[in-house]
Amino acid sequence: MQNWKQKYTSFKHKPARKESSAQDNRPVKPLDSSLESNISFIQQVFGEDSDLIVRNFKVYGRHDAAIIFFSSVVDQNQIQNYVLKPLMNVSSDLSEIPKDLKDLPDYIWSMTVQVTQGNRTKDLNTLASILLEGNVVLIIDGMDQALYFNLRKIEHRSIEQPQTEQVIRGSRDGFIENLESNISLLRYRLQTPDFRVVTAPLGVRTRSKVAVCYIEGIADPGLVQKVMRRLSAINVDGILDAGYIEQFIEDHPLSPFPQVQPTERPDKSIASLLEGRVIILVDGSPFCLIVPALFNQFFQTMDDYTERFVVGSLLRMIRLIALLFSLFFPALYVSIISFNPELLPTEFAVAITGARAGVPFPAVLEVLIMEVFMEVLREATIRLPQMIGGALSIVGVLVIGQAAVAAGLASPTTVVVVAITTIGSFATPAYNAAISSRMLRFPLIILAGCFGLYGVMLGTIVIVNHLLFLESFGVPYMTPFVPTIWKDLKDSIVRVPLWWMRSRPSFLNTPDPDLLANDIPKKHTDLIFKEKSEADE
Amino acid sequence: MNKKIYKRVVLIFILSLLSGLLAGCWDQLEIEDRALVLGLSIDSVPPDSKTNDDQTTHLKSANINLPQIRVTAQIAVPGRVPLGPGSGGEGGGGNQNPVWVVEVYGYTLDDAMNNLQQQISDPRYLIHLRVIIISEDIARKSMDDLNDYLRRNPEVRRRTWLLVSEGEAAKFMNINPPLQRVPTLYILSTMEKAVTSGKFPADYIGVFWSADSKWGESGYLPYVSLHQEDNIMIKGLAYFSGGVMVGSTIPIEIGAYMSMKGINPGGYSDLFYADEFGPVMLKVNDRFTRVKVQFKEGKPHITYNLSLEAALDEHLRSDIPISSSHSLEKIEDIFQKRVIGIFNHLIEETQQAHSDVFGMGEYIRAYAPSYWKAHVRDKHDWEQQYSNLSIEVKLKTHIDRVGLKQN
Amino acid sequence: MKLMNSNRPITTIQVMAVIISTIIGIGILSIPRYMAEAGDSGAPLVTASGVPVAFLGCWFTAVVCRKFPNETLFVFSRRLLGTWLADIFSMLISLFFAFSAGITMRQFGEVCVAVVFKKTPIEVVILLMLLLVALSIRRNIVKFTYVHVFYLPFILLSAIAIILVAMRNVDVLNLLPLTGNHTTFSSFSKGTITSAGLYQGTFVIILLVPLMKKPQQILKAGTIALGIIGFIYVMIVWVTLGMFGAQETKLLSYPTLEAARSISIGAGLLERFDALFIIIWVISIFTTIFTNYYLAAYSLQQVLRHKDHRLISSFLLPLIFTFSLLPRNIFQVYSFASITAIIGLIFLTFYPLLLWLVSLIRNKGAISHE
Repeated sequence: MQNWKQKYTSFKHKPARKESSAQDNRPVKPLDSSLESNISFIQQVFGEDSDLIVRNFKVYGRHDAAIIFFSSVVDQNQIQNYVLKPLMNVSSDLSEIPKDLKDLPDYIWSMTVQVTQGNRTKDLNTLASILLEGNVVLIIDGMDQALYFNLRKIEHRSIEQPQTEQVIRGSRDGFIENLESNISLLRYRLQTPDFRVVTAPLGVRTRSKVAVCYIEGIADPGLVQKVMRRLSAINVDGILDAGYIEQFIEDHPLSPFPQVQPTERPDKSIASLLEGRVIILVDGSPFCLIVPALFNQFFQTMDDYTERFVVGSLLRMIRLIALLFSLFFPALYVSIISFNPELLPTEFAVAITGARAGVPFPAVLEVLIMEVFMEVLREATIRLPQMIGGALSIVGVLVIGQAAVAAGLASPTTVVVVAITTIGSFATPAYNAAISSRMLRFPLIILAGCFGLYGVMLGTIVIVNHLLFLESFGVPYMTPFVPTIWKDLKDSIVRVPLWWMRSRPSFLNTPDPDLLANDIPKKHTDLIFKEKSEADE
Repeated sequence: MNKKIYKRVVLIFILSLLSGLLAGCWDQLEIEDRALVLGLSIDSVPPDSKTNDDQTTHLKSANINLPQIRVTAQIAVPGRVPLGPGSGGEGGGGNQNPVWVVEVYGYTLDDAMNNLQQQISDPRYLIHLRVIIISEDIARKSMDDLNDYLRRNPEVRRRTWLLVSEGEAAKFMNINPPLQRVPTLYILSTMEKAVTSGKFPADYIGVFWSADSKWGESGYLPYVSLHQEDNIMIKGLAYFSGGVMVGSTIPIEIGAYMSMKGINPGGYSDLFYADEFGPVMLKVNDRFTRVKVQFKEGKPHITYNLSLEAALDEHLRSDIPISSSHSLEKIEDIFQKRVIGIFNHLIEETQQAHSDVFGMGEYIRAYAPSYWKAHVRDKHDWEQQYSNLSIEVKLKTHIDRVGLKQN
Repeated sequence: MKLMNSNRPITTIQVMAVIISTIIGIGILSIPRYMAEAGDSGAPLVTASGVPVAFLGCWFTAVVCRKFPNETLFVFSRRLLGTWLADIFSMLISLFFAFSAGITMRQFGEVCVAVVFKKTPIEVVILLMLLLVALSIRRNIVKFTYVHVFYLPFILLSAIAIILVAMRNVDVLNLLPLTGNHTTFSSFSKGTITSAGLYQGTFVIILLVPLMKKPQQILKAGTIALGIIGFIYVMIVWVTLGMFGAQETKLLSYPTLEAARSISIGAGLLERFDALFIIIWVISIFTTIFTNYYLAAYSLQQVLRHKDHRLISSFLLPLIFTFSLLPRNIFQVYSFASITAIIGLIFLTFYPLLLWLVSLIRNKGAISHE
């Protein structure tokens, strides 16, 4: 192998490539009859890639052939056992081997090579992408077709608990980067023949496999069409993560609120599929996108469904309160301290002046500085390894906060407010919604600092109006609150018992709205009574 | 091209508007930069004393012919009133005064407030003004100026207490009670607890103003005095007529007043000599009143049917047992006869002073509107007619319990 | 079924919500005072008497819109009265609502500056709110109803909460005699007119009928909405009057505000109710101005035959701002407001009546084929 100095010199003197390989609409180039010219064509395309392997051998001891593959993406073991071995079998038993080269591909395909997936092509231009997808290409001297077999094997991590969405009670497997494993996680939970998986590559250079999954008969065909249309409009070099797709297919990319919900959990994906939504999976990303996504999904987790309904409802309400708190609390604090101290009870007001005496900044600046500091701290802790990260956050909050108070840079009340706000924002289960509330806090604080409670109200009205005008794939964002659909309110802030939820969300326009059969009684007690009366008989 | 220019114009317009925001947060003032006036006291100044005219609101030659008043303000000092238990004897907590008491003179209340502002650095705010104490002098002379200023000012809330003090009002601003760090808050809590324990009706300044505006009722205010330098005693009701104070009652008459208005909870006890049982104390716990307006010979006659629920608190002669419901009933009878005297005395007093604190005029106005329309042209009319009103009080008492002792 | 609904998505309840949240606005602060001046302790009765008068306007508008369920009033008035005349009237409507929005903003600004801010220039307070409304207007009518439907529960629940807490302090004596001591017929009728002048927001149904699922129910929606609003206004007057008494209420500039400031539930954090009041107050003013501005922009757009109302709404902004700065002092503000209310009452009652009569005479109009 050449060393780097030699590679460098040869690179400098290489002529520039006129044609980029990232073009799909090239004319069909048929295979040459000579094996050598085909192989050299392919090698030209890939330059000096060190993982492109060309293995020459004789098929059945008779014909010259070669298999070409990328050693980094195929399972070489299987090549040895199931491709090379049977093809190199020189045994006199093989009298049925057709003499004509035209029939050879059929014979090899049906009798020799014991591989599950594969195909043939007559086009040299497609071989490049075929090789890249992890196929092993078999070219026989004199044959006008090339056979290829899918023996893709890529190292991936094992299935483990999703890092960003942890639940107390629920499954612990999460999606990983490999699309096949992800689909298998979905398939075993959804063993209905109506589960459709439509795959296509996306991204001109990365050609990542993107799968759109839905349940036929439950998902609105209009919605599926919309998703596919938006995906087809994406014309980018590379799709590296599901997040890229999210930004291209959103209705309002400029809004701080997400209209697509990413999740790492297969059980959540299945739940949304059963409601009538559509999910999008990308090869290479452990996140799956659920469309359409509405506001009331951002404080719901699987925990609410796996626990009993009282617990579930209470948890949701707590999360909603935490979300509202983290958004409004610092702004309210600033407005009350700086503008409307008459809103505090007198003893409290008099005592707070004590806490704030000696702080050199106005309350707005103080709160802003502390909030920015908290945000920086949060960003910092993401990148630290686990062991240091935990300690730093505690140290950061307590010690630095205490020190700031002691130095007179901040008042203790402010530290408490900022701490409560930060903790509240962690309680929001959807990470992207939590980010939006973190961002929106700052304009509210500034408005509160300029106009007090009136400013907070104006800011709130702006945010609420924005939410009301937002749409996700044609569904208004604040459904079922506005427009009010009473049936769907059963599963928004509270979660009513499962036997009351009789239909799928109506805003998804499903052709099949019934979740429960009609003979299941409405009252759970009736179910039990039914049991008892049956037992008596 | 058109769209571009239009967009630019709109953008410039909006930016220039928004630059107004940068000019400042006009109303922003940190809470510790405000001088929160917690309590005010207003005294009259004897006309011969020499006081400087600050000339903050007028020239000396403007010839204002108004009597001067002395206003003492109690301002909370930021930093000296901690929430929660102070850390030990930090800074000798008792020595540092958590409030600052400032004295100013002026011709009217607003004049005095301006003089006050001239002297203190932080802008004064009346948003947490909880207690205003005026001396009896001022209450008897004229309250119009006070009422007007306080009504117009949007910072003053209707839940402020207005107290009339016997003697100098400024003394109240200087008390140093052991139970509270801030004196005004102590006065405030005295009044609030009096309301909750049934010792005084919830007579905030708002209630006083409402009563003052009504034609058929006269206002009243708490009448307080200072005992032993630090104790505030609620000495009675100061009743008003024609907008000025005309007299005050004794504490037990507050109980009578509350009974006639049916204000709960009850908190007054009555000590009386119950014939065969010896001296007995009853505590009234619940009051219920029904008022009826009737006409006898074309003149209104008001009947009060009071029913009180009481408990036996103290029975001095333990050798005479009270151990049967028969004895309780006897005590009830005696009580009813004795206590009527208190009511009648109070009614007479107010009738002589032309002060209808009970609001009987309102009953007539409500239930006999034709009579009202014919005879009463304004508030003054009614106050005169009140003295000739025939009133009857019927009392029924019910003693429920006798405490934990059987005898 | 779904396809038809997506063209007419507004339900009857949404219409009711729009009407209620539009009307509950600036009036609630000073209405007890006007009613007490008109009727003494009979103020609740005076308030209630305004409802039937206001209902007339609503009835005419609803009936005439029901006759033409596929067009807004601006379109079918052209057919009934001829283009020129209808355009003049539509222009008048636009001007009226712009002026009404301006005066309402001014009143709002006056209250804010008197009570909440002392140093902020009133122009800034007004301008901020107007900017906010101008930005929110740039959507279609369906989104317009969403805004109202969302804010309504907050407004209603808070109003009911304040009323319930204040009930404790109500002295029944203040509310007797039921017709007041010094009411004369003239003062009573003046009060009725004042009370009726508050309900002009019902005109907004002209925008909603073409998009309603069941346009036939418009009259029912309007009636129920008026009933609910009337109930709330009567309760507010009742409670305020009961707390203060008629004479005191006449003295207070903003009796409802004083009432909200006087109540409290115990000591501690719930002591001060006026925070809740300010919050709800800003929201209810926003919805009122939102509707007024929207109507002004929409009617102007119809007159000018422009593509949509967004450009026009930007140009209306300085106009409304100027209107709001016209009165010179607080008493002029009151007089402007009452004149506007009376003009609006007359105009918005008789114009739909005129249209209805003309439609009967000319026998035009589809009689609701669905």
